[in-house]
Amino acid sequence: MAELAKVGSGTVQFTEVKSSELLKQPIESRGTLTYIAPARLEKHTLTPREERFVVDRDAVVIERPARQERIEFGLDQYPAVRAFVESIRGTLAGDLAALRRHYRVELEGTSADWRLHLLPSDPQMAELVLKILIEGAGSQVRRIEILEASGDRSVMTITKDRA
Amino acid sequence: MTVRRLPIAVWLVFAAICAWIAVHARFTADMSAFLPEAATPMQRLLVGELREGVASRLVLIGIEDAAPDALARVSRALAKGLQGDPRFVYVANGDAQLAEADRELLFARRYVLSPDLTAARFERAGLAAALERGSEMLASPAGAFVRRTLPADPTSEFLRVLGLFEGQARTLTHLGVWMSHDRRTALALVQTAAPGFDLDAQHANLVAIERAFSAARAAAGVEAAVLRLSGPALFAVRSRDTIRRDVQRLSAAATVLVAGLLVVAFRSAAVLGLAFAPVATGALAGVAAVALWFGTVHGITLGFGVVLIGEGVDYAIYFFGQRSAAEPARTSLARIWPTLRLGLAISAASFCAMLFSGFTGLAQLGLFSVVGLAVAAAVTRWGLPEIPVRGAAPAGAAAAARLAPRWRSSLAARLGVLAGAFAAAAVVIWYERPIWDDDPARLNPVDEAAQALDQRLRNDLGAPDARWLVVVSGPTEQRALEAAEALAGPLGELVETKAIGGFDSPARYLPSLAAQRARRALLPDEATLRQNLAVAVAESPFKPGLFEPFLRDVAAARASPPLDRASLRGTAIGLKVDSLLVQRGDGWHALLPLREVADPRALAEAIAGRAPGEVALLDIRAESTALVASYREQALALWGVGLALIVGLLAVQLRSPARVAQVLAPIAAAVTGAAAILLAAGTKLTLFHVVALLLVAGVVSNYALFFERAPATEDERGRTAFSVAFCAASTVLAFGLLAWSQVPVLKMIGGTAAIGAALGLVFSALIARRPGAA
Repeated sequence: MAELAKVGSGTVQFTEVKSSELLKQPIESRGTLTYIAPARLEKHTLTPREERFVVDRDAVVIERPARQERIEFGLDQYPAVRAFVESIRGTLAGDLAALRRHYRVELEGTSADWRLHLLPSDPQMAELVLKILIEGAGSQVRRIEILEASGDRSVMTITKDRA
Repeated sequence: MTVRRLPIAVWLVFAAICAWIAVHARFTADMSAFLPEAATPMQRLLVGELREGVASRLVLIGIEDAAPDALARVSRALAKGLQGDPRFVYVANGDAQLAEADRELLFARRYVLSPDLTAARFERAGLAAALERGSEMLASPAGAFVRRTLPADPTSEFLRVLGLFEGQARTLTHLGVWMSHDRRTALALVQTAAPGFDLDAQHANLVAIERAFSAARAAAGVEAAVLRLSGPALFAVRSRDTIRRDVQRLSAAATVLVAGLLVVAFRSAAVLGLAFAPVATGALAGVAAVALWFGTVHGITLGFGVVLIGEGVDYAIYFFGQRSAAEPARTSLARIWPTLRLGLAISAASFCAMLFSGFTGLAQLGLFSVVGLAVAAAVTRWGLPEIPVRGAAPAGAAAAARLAPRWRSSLAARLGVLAGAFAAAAVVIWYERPIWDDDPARLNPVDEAAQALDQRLRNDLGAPDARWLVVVSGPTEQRALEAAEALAGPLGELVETKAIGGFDSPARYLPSLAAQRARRALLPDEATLRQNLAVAVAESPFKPGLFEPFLRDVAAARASPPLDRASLRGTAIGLKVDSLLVQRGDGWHALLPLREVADPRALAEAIAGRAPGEVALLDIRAESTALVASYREQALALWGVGLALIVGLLAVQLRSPARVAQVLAPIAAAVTGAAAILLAAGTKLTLFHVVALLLVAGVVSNYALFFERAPATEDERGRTAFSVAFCAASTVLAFGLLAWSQVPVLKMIGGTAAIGAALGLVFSALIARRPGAA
């Protein structure tokens, strides 16, 4: 965690695969993920359709240029969104205390190959998200897997560090 | 001297009856009794809301002094403890389980509630667009949230309905319960079944909440947590306690002080006891009269008992003060009785003016005082002389006689001094304009710390402090709702142009039957929808057969009975509708609170005539201020009536314009002088100051009358000076004590009257006559 805390800001590329009972086949999307210490997270999806998802502290803005849509809301309104945001933000910030506010945290492996199991402690969050598994090596996050209560799953692979 | 037993027997029986009634009287401390009897329908609505509206039934709960997680546990346990208690119709702490009823209701009724439903949304193109959007949402960070409702609600009507609640500040949650932004206070909200003005019920409610909190704290193992309550009901209950405590404390203090004065002056235990007999009987009779006439006795009325001690004890003091060993008691009394009677008539005249005021509270004070003083005077006249008291001549009389003014200057010169004092006071009053303060908050007996806590909890809970309100009315619930719906368009445009920040409307949560019918008519039949959907799903990333719940729900919405008030009961939505749609008098009113009104004029123009019936734009702050101002004007008019009565009585009794003018001079100087002193000290005058000044006129007229009467002998001159000085001292003491009260109404009346009485004594002494002068 200490190594992560030193990293600070940076941008990486991701590929995310969302698989769901509802879908004929999984949806794959690509884009960039930017973290600016201490509290800003940007998920910029480029394909299949551009979407910009920006969280700064508790304020969320979603922009979909194709639809000329801009939605603003607070993290508290959507526990599911919070589950996603806090896991990544807390991990990238190396802020174990922040993670513990929202999850039961289990860390395993070595500093060269670690796995962080996050189990939501907020009942509203837990109703939607079963578990978040974050894998990394040293100060790099390599994979984020979100397992939803519905059985849906999203796997985000961090492919390349652009910073 | 023979003792006549009949008057004493009558007196004792009368006192016993009054005591019985007083003991069985119901006491209230409803501060709205001190709100004007509203003149306009809008004011009536406002006062009605203050007394029994939903806002008056809310209890705001804060839990503090523990870690956030611990606070959340206590909050959960508290909500569990309060739920199911029939005294609380609604308990909310943000817990999803508590809000479940609301979510289920909104979801089940989404098609009749959805604000901008269109038929196109259920056609092929509309459904295809909705599904594409649905797949994007599913892949977004909000996917887990959307997924649950997607099969039943691909067109996102539920999200649109949830949007109705947006813009109204959202409350932050921590571990699922409401929490302040600094996470130091867990928040909850309770609506009581009893109306705000039912103080006994509200007191029981507060005790129940405190008990439930103690149990919750123990259950959660967080002994450090403390409970902070706020809300109108709490304020009312606490005011009653403050009034009760003040009344007990101050009347005890006044009794002790006046008794001390009596002991010093008369050095007789018998006099001490007897001096209180008229006033005690008067107070009992006053309470009994109020209880019989009004049904309940207001705490503030009792507070006035303190004043009565100051004024009513005067009659006994005049009597004992005028006693001398040389003449029988009945003779001394017969000698001073005409003056006493006139003084009583004048005091009664000034209190009578209050009787006819629109404030129930003031009318009670008036009745209490008139009856109390009349009974105290009657006891003095017919009861006291029948009780033999030895050595009742005042020991302090000789000293007072030495101090008594022995004017060398002519009466004309002294009247000139009074005229000068009057003129100086008038200049000060003129200079201090504006002299009125009509802020209703001045009447609020709640201390600033409590008001600050209330504001803090309200902010954290996102409860609106509604200042601007649009009111539309109709003869039935449906007509009022339709009128509210007619305003949705114009108000929406004002939000667009930023003339207002937003608005709320009961029709959002309970659309009129006509609007519900119109929305239902937009929904296609099942066969058509199934066909359209099949085409849209085939082109989408979603599996076929997924949207059966959607088909089922649309069919159900087409067939279901309309949403009505009964189906909203026990939910936050029901609470909202209850607070925004009220029945008062002969009609229904829809209240539309506005947020952030930037341009009131544009607003007024935009909504005028846009709904059937009258569209009233209410600035609650201005309206309450106007209410108080109109009341103050009414009090001033009553002042005029009281003054005319006083002058009339003086004219009848004194039969000389010059003598009437002489008695009026100190009264006028004392009243203006008191007002000038208050203003110069930075106090703007309220309607209660006006009332107090009327009391000053009544009290000072008594002093002036005694001084104006030419004494027969040097001895009598001393006794008069003694009696008046003593009466003024007891009045200033009693009123002055009231100035220490924490109840603003009592404080204002007390302070003003004490200053006026002190000035009145000095000014009245200026018109004192020499012995033997005609």
